[in-house]
Amino acid sequence: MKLTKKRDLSPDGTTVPLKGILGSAIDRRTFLRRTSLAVGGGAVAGALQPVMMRRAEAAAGAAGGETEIRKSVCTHCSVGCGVVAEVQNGVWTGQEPDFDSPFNLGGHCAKGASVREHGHGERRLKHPMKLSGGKWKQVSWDEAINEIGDKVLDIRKRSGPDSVYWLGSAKFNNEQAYLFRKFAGLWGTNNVDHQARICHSTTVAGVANTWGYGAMTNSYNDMHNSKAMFFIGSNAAEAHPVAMQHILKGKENGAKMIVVDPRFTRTAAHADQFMRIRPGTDVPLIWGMLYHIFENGWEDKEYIRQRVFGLDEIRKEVAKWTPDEVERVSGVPGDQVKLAAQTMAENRPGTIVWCMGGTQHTIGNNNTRAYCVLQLALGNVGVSGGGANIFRGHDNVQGATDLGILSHTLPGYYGLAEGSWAHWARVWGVDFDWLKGRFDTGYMDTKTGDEDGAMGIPFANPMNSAGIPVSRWIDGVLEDSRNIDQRDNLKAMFFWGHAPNSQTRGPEMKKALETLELVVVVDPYPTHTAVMPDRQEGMYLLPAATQFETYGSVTASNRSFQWRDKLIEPLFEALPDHTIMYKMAKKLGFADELFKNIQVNSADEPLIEDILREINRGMWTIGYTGQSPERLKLQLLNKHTFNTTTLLAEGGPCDGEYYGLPWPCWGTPEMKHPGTPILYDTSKSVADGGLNFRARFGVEFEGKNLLAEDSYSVGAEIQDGYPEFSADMLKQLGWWKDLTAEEKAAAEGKNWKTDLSGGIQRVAIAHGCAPFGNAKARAIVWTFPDRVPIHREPLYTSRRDLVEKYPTYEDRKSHYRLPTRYASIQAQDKTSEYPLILTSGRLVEYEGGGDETRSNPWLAELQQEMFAEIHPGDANDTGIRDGDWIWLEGAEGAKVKVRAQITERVGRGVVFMPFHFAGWYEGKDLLDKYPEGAAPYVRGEAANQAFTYGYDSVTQMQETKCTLCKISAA
Amino acid sequence: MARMKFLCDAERCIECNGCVTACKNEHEVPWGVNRRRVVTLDDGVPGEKSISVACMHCSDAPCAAVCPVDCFYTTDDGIVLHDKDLCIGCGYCFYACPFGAPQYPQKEAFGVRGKMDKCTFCAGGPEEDGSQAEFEKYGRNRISEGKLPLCAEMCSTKALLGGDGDMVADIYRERVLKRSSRPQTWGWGVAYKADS
Amino acid sequence: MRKVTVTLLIMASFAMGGCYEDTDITLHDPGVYRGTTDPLLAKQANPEQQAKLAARFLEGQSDR
Repeated sequence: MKLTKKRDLSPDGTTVPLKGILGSAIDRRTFLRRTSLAVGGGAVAGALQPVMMRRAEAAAGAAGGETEIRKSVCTHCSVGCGVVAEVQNGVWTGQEPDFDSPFNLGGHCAKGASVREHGHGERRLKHPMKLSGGKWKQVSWDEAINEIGDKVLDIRKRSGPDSVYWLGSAKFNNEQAYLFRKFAGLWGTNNVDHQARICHSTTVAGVANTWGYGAMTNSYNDMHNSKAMFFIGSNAAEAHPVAMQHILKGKENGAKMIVVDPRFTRTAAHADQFMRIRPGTDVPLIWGMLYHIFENGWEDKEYIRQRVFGLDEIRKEVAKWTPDEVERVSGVPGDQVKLAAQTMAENRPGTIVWCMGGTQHTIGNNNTRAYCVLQLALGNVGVSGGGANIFRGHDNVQGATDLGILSHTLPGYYGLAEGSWAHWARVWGVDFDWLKGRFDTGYMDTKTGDEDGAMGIPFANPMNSAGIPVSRWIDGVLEDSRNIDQRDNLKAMFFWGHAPNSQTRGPEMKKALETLELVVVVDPYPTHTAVMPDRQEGMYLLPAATQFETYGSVTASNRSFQWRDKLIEPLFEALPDHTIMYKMAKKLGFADELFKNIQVNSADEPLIEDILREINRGMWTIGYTGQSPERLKLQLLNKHTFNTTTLLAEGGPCDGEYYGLPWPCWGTPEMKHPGTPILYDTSKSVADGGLNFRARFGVEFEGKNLLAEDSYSVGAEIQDGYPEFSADMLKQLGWWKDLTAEEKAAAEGKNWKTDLSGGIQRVAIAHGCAPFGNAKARAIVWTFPDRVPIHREPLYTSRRDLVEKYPTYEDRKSHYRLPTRYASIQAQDKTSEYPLILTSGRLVEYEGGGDETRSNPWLAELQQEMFAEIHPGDANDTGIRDGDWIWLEGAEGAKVKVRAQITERVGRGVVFMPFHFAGWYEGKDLLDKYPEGAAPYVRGEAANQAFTYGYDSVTQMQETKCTLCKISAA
Repeated sequence: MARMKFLCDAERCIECNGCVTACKNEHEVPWGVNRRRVVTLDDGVPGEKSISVACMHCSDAPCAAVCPVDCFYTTDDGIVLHDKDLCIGCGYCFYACPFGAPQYPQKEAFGVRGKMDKCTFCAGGPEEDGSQAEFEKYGRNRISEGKLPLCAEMCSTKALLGGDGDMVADIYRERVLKRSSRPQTWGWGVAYKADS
Repeated sequence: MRKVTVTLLIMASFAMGGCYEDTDITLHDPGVYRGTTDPLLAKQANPEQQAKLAARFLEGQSDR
C-alpha cells in the first residue's frame, strides 16, 4: 500500500506521536473505519446488469479531414432545439451545443443529446425488405416500388382509391408534409392522416373554433413573462424538457406554477400547487375554478365586453359546478380549487399549458374549449406572458398539421369544400375536373344500403367528406363494408413515418394488419408494424432517411420556422421521403402533376426550395406565405441576433424580424412581414406582428354581434370589429385603388384566402387591419355536439354513480365514414372485473412509438424494461411487489406483461403505463420477427394494446387517458 | 488560477438525463458504464429533487489517495485524471469515492473489473491531446480545445454548470438572489425553519 | 487453572485491541503520480487557455 501516514494532528493542530496498539504504520482496519463506502452509484449497478450487452462499437472518428460545422434542428419534439454537428469526411463525428439558438441556448434533453447516433444507425432499417414465406428478404428499390405500385393500382381498380390508406408523419419536414397531402389528393382519396389526430386534434378543433387559429398562441420563451403558469395534463419536464428552461426562468421571475395531473409528475415536483385529478374530469375542475372567478368578480369585464361572445351561457353551466360537486366528480378538494382560481386571478398575465392529458378524451374538444374560456374570462389571451401555450408533440407536428396531412382538410385548413379544392387546383396548376375525376364519386350511385347494415343516411362524396382518421384505421379494415361511407374496406395501408403502437385496441389491430392485402412501412426503423402481425406475405419495409440526412424547413410549436441543413448523406440504402414520393408517384402515374412546378434532379430528388415556394404561393389562410427559403436561411446564419425572451432580432441582417417568422407571416416574402410572435396581441400593429381574434363564424349570431367592440390592433384604420377581407370589401372601403394592376387582376372576385397575388392582404395590413377580420372569441360553439362545454364521463368509467347525470353521447351511425359507439359502450358496467383506472403518458428518454429511440443504445440503457406504475395500496391489495412481472388486462380483455413499479407517484386506484415500448405481444418477445440487425435494443409490450374504444365527438381523437384495467401477478 | 468545478442546481434539474447522454455521446462510453448519473431523492412524492452527479474532481481526492499504483494526477485547475495503462482495476478508488464516480466496464459475466473509467471533466488523459489513442481510452478532450464539459454545456435547463468554480458560484448566486422572493432554495426550510 | 486464566487474559487483550479509538486527525499524503505525462497539464497552466475557457463558460452557461 503506497499510502503513508505523514503526520498525526491533535485537535489543537499540534502533532503528537502516533498511538495505537498494533504499531505505527496505518493499517487496513483504521483506513476502512475512516472511509465512507461509496453510496449508490455506477459501478455497483453496472456490475449487477442481468442482461449481457455487447459493447457498442465506438465510431472511430475519421482521422484527419476538415471538420465542417453544419446546423440542424432536433427531430424529437416541438421545442425545436438547435443541433450543431461536426462532420468529417461525411461522417458525423461530434455534436456541439447550439448556444446561438434562442430556443435551447445549447441545451438538450437526453434525446437531443443523443441525435448523433443517427449517424451510426446500427439498428436502422438498411435495405428495402419484402416479407416472403414469413421471412424478410432484401429487395432492390425498383423491385419494391414496382411490386407495391402494381398491387396498389390493382386494388384501385377493384375497390377504388379510397381502399388505400396513406398514413403520413409528423416527422416529415414541411416540404415533405405538403407533398404528401398533395400526393394523396392526386391519388384521389382523403384517407390520409398523421399523428396530430391522436395528439392535439381536439386542441386544433376546440381552439380554432373559439378564436380563429388552433395553435400555440405565445411561445416557450414568452413564458419568462408569465406571472402564473397553469399546467393541466402536461408533463413538460418529461415531454418538453428544454421548455422547462423557460418555465423555470419564468418561475424565477416570480411566476406561480400550478400543476394538475393524476400523477405527481416531475413537473409537479417543481410546482407551487399540485392538484391530483381523476382522469377525465378536466371540465369540472376548470368550471370549478371559474365558479370562484365569477363569484368574486375576478373576470376581466372590459375584455369580455370587447372581445368575448357567449360567456353568459357559460356562466349558467359554471353555476352548477359548486365546490362540493367539483370535489365529488374530480376528487380535488374545494380549497385547492379555490386557491388555484385565486392564484390565476391575482397573478396576471397567466398562461395555460395543456397536452395529451387534456386532449385524449371522448370530450377532448370540450376540455380544450374550457381551457380557452378560462383564459378569456381572465383576459389572458393576446398578451405577453399569457395565452394558451399548447405544447405540440413531434418535431414537425405543427407543420404537418398546418400543411394538412389530415383526412378532413387540405393544406392550410381550407377544408374539403369544392372551393377549397378549386383553390389548390389553381396553386398546383392541375385541371380541376381532372382532379375531381381522380376521386371515386361513382360509388355513391352503385353502393346500396342493405337491410342488415344500412347506414340509413345518404352516402358522402369522397372528395368533400372527411376520410377515415388514423385512430380508426382498424375499423376501416375490419368493419362490415356496408357500414362504411366509401366503396369498400381498406385493403392497403402505408405506414409512412407512423408507428402503430400509438393507437389503441391491440388484438383488433393485429387482426387488421393480418387482414390487409398490403402493408407498406416507410420508416428509418421497422417499427412494431413489421412484427406485430402473423403474416407470410404482402408486407414491405422501405428505408427512409432521417431529417439529418436531408434538408428543409420545420415548424416548432410556437409557429416558428427553422431551416435544417443536410448533415450527412442517407445511410445504407435509405432515401429521403420526398424522393420515395417521387418514385411512387411515377409508378402510380401522376408524377407530372405532382411535380408540375417542382424540379426533380437526376437522383429522383425533388427540389425542397421549389416545394416551399409552392407552399408560399398557396397557404394564405395561416400566413405560410412570407417564409421563403432565403429568409429562413438568413435567419439560420444569424440566430444569435435574436432576443431570447421577445424573439425579436435587434440589429443585424434580420433586424426587426421575429425568430422563425412565426405564422401568420402575412403576404408575399417581398412584403417582409416580421412574423407574429404572439397571436391576437392588439398592442402592436398587424404590420409589426400584432393581431386580433379572427372573424370566422359570421358577423352575428342569434341577433347578437360577433364582431369585436372597441377593440382593434394598434394603427387599425377601422377602429372597431370588421369582417374578413374580400375584394368587394376593399372596394366598399375605397381601398381597391391601392392594389397594383397585377394584384387587381388576381384579386378580382377573391378574398384574403384565395387571392394568389397577396394584394388583398397587403392592402389590408397597410391600412392597419388584420386580413381575417376582427371579431370576438366565442365561448360557445354552436356547430359542435356540445354547444357549451360540459362534463361527460369517460366511456369506461370507474364511477357508475355519475353516469346518469353525466352520460356520454349517443351512438353515431357515421362519423368520419365509420359508425362510432358511445352510449352502448358506457352502458356496460366493467368496474367489478376491472377496478383500476388506466392511464398513459411519456418518458423523457423515449419519443412516440419508440423504435427510433429504443434503437439508440445511449437512450435504451436508461429505460430497459416496460413497466406500469402502481400505487402501494393497489399493489398490496393484489399481492404484487416492486419489480414483479404482472399481467395488466384492459377492459376489453387485451393483456400485456410488464414490470410492476410500486410508487406513490400515481394516486390510489390509478395505474400508469408509458406508451413508447413495442416489440412484444402478450408476453412474447418478437425479436425473431425483426429483419436481421434492425431490432431495437429494448423491446417491451405496447401499452396501447390494452387501451380501449373511445373517440372524441368532433375529431375522433382516441381516449387514451382514462379506461379500466386489472392487474395480477404473472 | 481557476478551480474547475461542477454544480448541479437542484432547483432546475428535471432528471432529463441530457447530461448523462451527452457524455455517452461525446466519449462513446459503452453500455454499462455511466460516468454521470442523475440521482433522485423522494421520487414521486412532494419534495422530489434531482441532482446530476459525476466525478466531483475533489481538491483532496480520496481516489488518488488510496490508489496502490498512483495512477492519478491533478491539473493546476483541479481536474482529476488518471492513467489507464497503470490502472490495475483493484477497485479501491471506487471504495474511497463518496460519489461512486469510478466505473468498471464489464468484461465478463461474473463482474471481473476492467480498467477504471470515470468522468474526466472532458479533459481526456495522459496521451497526446486530441489523438485517436486518447479518444479510445479516455474519450474526447474538449478542455484542450478551449471547450467545457459537454454535460454542462448541454444541460436542458442550465441546472448543471461546469467551469471555473468562481464563475459557477456567480451564476448560482444570481439565481439565489432572483429566487429570494420565494424561499424554495433547497435546504432553506431546514436552515431557516421556514413554513413551506 | 492458571493456563485458562492466562489464555483468557490474552484473548481479552486481543479483543480489547478492537476497542481502540484514535480521536486525532491523521493526514495522508498520496503517493507521487507514476504514469505518463499529460500534455494538458502545461496547457492548463497557460493563462490564455484559462481565459479561453472562461469566455466559453460565459458564452454557453450564463442565464442569457
